[in-house]
Amino acid sequence: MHSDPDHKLITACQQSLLEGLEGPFRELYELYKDRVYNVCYRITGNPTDALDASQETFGIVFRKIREFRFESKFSSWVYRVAVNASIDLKRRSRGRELASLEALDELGPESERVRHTVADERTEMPLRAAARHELEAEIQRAISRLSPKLRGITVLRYIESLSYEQIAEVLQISLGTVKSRLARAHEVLDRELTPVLDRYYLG
Amino acid sequence: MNSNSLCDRLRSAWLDAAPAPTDGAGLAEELRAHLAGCAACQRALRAWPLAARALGELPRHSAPRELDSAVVAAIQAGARTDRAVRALERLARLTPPEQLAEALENPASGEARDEAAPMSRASAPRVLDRLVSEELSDPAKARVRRHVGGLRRLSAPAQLTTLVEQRTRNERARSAAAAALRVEVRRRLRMALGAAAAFALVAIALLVERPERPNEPKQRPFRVERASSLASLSPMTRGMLDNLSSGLTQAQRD
Repeated sequence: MHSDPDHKLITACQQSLLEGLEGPFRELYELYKDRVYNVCYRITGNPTDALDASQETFGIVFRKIREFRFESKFSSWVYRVAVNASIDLKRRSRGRELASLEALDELGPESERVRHTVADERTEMPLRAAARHELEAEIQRAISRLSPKLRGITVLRYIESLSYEQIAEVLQISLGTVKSRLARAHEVLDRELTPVLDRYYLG
Repeated sequence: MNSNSLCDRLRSAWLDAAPAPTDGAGLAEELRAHLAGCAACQRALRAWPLAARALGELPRHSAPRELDSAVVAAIQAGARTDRAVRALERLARLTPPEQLAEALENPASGEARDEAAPMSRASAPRVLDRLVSEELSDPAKARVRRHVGGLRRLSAPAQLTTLVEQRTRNERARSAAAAALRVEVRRRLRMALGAAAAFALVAIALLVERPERPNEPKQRPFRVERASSLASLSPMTRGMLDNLSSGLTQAQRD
């Protein structure tokens, strides 16, 4: 049994008659929606799929929350649902072409609807912001080239900053597997990213 | 210990200590010695922190506003599914009627069973047997038939009427022309046959009516005249032919 920081909220959800996105479930949703969306966004690689995967994640969480028995941390369970929903969605839409960040740029004004505001860009010089944008696109492309398993583990480790123990709990694998998969992910990422990162960080 | 295993251990140790110095400080003596001589590990330990930093610095995105309504929709859809599942579970939990238990224990004749059976249950239509057997024997074909059967019926476009009218008009004109041609051919054939028959009759009559004279040298009853065209015949012969052929030779000459 874990001492879950969201224990009270989860219990409230379990005890109340959930009729929709209201009450304690709304609070839980507000707590997790950005985390879930970011995981889905980085695994799927585009905002449309991220929205679908996030929707599916919260749909599952809503339906299954009564069955949650605190055998793991609630956040681990939510992350697991989000990772699996994103990977499933990618598998289902394998035939579709990924809407890359460049494709969003080509959308013109429409892209504003789906583009996410990066806070520090507002204060950056345009050139610097463009370089950051390009770097983000390269990194996202490199993540997308990882296999689904490696992608999930990379996102949880480096974007959500989860510990190895937490990742092991989320993905229900051993610590050794976490580390070996992360090392494999590094091999791929380094091959893809080293020239880009050298250019960006070292000049 | 082989070099690959040391590479793995070194990288695992770096992951354990990350963010750790890339010069191997803090690593076990054995691993530091390996690092000093392994170019691949040196490259990895230079690259990994950069990749980790770049990934960690990726901007965090706020969930878009659309997510709220999407989640509400998902919850409502889920609630509908749950209700349906619960209803099905309730149905599955129903106890069988007593009559059924009795019928199973004392199987009676078909008629008696029919009388005892509750009337509330609708019978499956007979067509179901055929549909199910089709589905089992050839699922692909059955699927195609289902889909084709469900296709929307289309109305014929107005243009079709015009095309059909035009086509039928053309067909009528063509068959009228063909009928006229047939009549003309028949008329000409009759004329030619009539002429031939008349010619044959005259020739026979001439042969039959001429009296035989024993001392008279034998003479041909008719003269054979060879001609390459009607125009080259003598006027008398031409006139005779015209009469015999009811004007057909004259028409051809003209």
